[in-house]
Amino acid sequence: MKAYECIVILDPKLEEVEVDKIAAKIEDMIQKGGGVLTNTNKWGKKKLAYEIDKVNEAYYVQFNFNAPFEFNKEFIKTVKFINGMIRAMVFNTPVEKKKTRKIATPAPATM
Amino acid sequence: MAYSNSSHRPDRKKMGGRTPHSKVCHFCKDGVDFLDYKDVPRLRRLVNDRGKILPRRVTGNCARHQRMVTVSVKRARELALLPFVSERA
Repeated sequence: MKAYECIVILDPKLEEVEVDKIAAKIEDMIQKGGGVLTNTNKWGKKKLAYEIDKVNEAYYVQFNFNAPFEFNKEFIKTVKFINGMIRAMVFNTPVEKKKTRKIATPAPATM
Repeated sequence: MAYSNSSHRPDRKKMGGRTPHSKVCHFCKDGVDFLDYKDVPRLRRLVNDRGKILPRRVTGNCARHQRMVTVSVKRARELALLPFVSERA
């Protein structure tokens, strides 16, 4: 199991209800595929930094989940073809590491 | 520190130039372990007005943090949080 973060960009022409429906669908997909959903964050409508498909603003939804690698590969393929999807990306999120900095031991004094 | 006056360099002060002040990596100072690509205001400061990633010699970042910067700026660009190119602002 690895930690992933998925961000989807949805068509601004959709209604809030439809956005919630798609979000619920993706959440369902994660849970059915053996993943564990940890967080869902709806950013709402945001202005895009550049035009995509003649669209200047879009809905953003963020999902955080833990899932096996194989699931993640299939997941992104299916998510991209949901109706109203402009862009979907999955990134791995770093696991917090304990700081284990090696302390240099002074070399034994030579002649 | 990125730049230090080493002995083989000509003395800039004698030549009438500015002495480069040593830069410190701001991320190291704050103890940043992970740079978030969603942190747009922070990333904005790491690109110029054309949207290009600023070089290390300008920002003074260390190699490790500069690597994080490039990855997160590129991710932010794909998600349309940052522009790939922007016309002169």
